[in-house]
Amino acid sequence: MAHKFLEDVAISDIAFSTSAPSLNKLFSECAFALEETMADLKTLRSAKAKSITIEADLPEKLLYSFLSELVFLKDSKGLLFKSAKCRVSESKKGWKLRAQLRGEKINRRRHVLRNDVKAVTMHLFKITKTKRGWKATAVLDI
Amino acid sequence: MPPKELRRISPALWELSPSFKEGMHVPARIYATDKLLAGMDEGVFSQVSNLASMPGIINYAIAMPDAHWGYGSPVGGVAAFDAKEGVISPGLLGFDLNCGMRLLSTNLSFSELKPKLRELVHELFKSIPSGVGAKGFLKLNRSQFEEVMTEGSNWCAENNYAWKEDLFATEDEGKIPGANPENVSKKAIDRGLNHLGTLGSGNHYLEIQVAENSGIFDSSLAKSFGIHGESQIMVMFHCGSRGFGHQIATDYLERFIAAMPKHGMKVNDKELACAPTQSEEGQDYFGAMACAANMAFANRQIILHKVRECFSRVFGKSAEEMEMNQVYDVCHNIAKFEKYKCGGKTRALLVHRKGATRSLGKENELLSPKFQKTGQPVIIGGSMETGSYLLVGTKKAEEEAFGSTCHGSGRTMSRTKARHEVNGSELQKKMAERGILVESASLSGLAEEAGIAYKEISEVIESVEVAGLSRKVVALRPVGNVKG
Repeated sequence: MAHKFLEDVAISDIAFSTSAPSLNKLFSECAFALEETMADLKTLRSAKAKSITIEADLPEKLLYSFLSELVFLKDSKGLLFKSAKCRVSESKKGWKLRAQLRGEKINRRRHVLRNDVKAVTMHLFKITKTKRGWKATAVLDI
Repeated sequence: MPPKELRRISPALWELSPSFKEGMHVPARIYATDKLLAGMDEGVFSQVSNLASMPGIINYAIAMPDAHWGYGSPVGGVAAFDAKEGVISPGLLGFDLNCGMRLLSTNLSFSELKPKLRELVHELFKSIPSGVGAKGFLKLNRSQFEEVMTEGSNWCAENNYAWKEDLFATEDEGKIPGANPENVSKKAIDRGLNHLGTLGSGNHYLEIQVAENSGIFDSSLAKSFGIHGESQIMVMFHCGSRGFGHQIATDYLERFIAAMPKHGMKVNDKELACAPTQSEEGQDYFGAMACAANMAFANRQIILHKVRECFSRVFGKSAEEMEMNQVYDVCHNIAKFEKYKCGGKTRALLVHRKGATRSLGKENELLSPKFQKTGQPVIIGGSMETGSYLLVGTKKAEEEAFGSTCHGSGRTMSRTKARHEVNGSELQKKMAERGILVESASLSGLAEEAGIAYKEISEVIESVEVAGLSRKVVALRPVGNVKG
């Protein structure tokens, strides 16, 4: 499981790619990459827990909605998260994510803050199945 | 490396014919000097040719000299469509709706400012929230926020955050008509409520600048804009509609992607999803976009109010005594209904600008009386190390580029790469040694904005001047900077 920030893609924004053995871990790692873009997560505490459930017809849309929700929670509730335990499941109705998030409210004195992610873009946004599991790329609007 | 199919049209204008890529309906045009063109990233050529493939695009897709790889459209892209028969596309405007620049002049000189520069930069940094988690001082309820959405800068004037003259020196006088709060999601309002009066992060900044005599290219025009040189202190800032505009863009991008099959439309990148302007989706989006644009005008107006307060506290004089007059405010991420000549006939168009500035010449009916004899002031923000420019719009821009020009320096290096190559703390020290004091909400964010990550601003300005899209009026030197 890993994520990597890409150097030569959409240069005014921030692009990352992630890989993981399962969809659950891929979603967790993508959340980690997004939150790490906004703050040094070592300076965050796991003081607040939040559960979210998201549904979509495709795994790609599910991930897009999940990451967009994290951006929304940052602006509307002032929350950043240092971990996300994700459970992705498929049923006849489509795809569902249950995520347990842990983090805290932004503290501008204690947290080392980085970039304010304003949106998850659709540019190059994709999830692919690989021999070793799953891979995703995303470009975040800064 | 630029594609070999590029053909030179004039000294700073190049063209890719529709045969360059399957699906292109019109040529793609790139404004750049030879030097800038040679260094342009390949994303620009790929993305401007995708723009040229948009359904109903008129004449040509345009990339400005500061263009660089964005998402969907390049940053620095311009595309126009018929106002009635054409399409509207959220991705062609960028997510930060009505991101723009504001410039104000003062009667202070650098010798008066110098002993107080550190105090002033700190005061501005404290008073104008920036970076992740920043909240503005205004606590509005939803109904008041709806008034901001529909009234823009007028709301600020009614609530004592604006001088009457500020509105006449703002594009569209700070209010885009057609705003409809019913088309805005609760999520967007939740994100926007706390953001009025905040600067943001990334490339958003507020800068104290100096207008030297040696930086004035047209003294008559400069005087008309309130700039006399003599080490005159100016203030420039760059920001937009913050999380509010981004949420609107996110909401509508998803809706447009879902509606594309219904309208029988295809695009080369999901970010370019579009719908007929007169369709339900198109009309709803325009109403929501206008809300974001008006919020952005109000945001910059409230920041201007805070700037005036900070200067008053530091210098012990009123903003009126310091003649802190707004020179102008421009949008550079927006879609607007404007009329241009196409094939000898005047056509009503919906011009999409993403990282491109309107650049109208003299006597254009869209300009307020104050600018009828001068043309439109065009504010171009450079990197925090290299300086900025005030230009003026031209008739040629109207004739050739749907009244558009560049918007900034344009990046040459990704944020991630810049962060690896530059240490934010060292950069801050080096800039201070060169006389530019910076306070930043994030040192890594500061590193990403280093001058080496940007094109040479002088070369970008040279390109638009040689191409005739705008003319130089004043170059401005940075001395203090507040970074998100």
